[in-house]
Amino acid sequence: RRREQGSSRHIPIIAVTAHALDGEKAHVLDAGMDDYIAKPFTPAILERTLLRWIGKPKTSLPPPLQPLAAAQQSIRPAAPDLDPDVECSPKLLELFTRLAPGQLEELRGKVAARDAEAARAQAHKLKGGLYAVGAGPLATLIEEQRSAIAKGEWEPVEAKLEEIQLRFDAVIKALSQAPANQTQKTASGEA
Amino acid sequence: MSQSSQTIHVLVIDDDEIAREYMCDVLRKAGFNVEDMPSSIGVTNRLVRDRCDVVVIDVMMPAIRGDKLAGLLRKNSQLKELAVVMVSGAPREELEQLGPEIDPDRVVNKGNVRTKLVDAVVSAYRERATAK
Repeated sequence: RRREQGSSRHIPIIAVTAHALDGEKAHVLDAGMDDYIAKPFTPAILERTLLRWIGKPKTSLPPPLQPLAAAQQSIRPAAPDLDPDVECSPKLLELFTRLAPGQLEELRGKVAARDAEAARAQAHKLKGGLYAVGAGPLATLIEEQRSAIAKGEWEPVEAKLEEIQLRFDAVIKALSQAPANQTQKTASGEA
Repeated sequence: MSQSSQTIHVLVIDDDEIAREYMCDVLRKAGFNVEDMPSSIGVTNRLVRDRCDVVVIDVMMPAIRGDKLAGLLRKNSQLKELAVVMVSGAPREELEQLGPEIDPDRVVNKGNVRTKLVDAVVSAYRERATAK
């Protein structure tokens, strides 16, 4: 930004951050950035953000920063939690898509019943499965809930459950639609 | 994958079917000879009978916890050369509970199975093999 001082040149800078908080938005703007994208984000969000900045006259004033984090929440992304580079065996995919929905349902039930031990055990199980299929961000979110449950913070956990369900459903949907050639076949049978 | 991994015989123990298949999948792709069990019951006999080189154990399991199992294996004179890799979903809180008698050769966070488990198994095996 210092280099641009005294010239009409303005190179848009877009921050990519894992912290979708209002404070973070102010922080990146104060640092001289023009926009920001909160993780996780979809290709469509990236494209829309880039298009907002590409092709505009270099001297034009930037448009006002949009509340992207809020906008992202209203969009049902394909499965931003899934790492596309992770290959799962067909058996692993079958196990996860068959068993994990019940694990989340069980977790919700245990949270509603305020059964800390059972809820933490379910969260532990669900988290492991999410890591297995490459849904690391959602697994991390589940682990955060597990920690919160341990501290007796039930209300924040309940408040997160809807978001978790939406993101989880997107993961299941994406995995269910994964073409067979994107999964790697296991080399051998069961032990 | 390295030639050595193809000769290493690994037994994976985890009560969770998804997590167990996940670890088996990662290890099979790396070329290991992999078998699995859903609980700690009967593990000692299986390890002795099948002459396993490395056992991968989840810490949190019902009936006999993984750390307790590891402690039992360490006391078994027939399994002195067995390399033990513990897998934990919440290392800090769980590992603080592990006693000194457990002495795992390696500990892997469940979140790092894809990137760390193969290295942990190979290095644990090599250390034990060198110590023979």
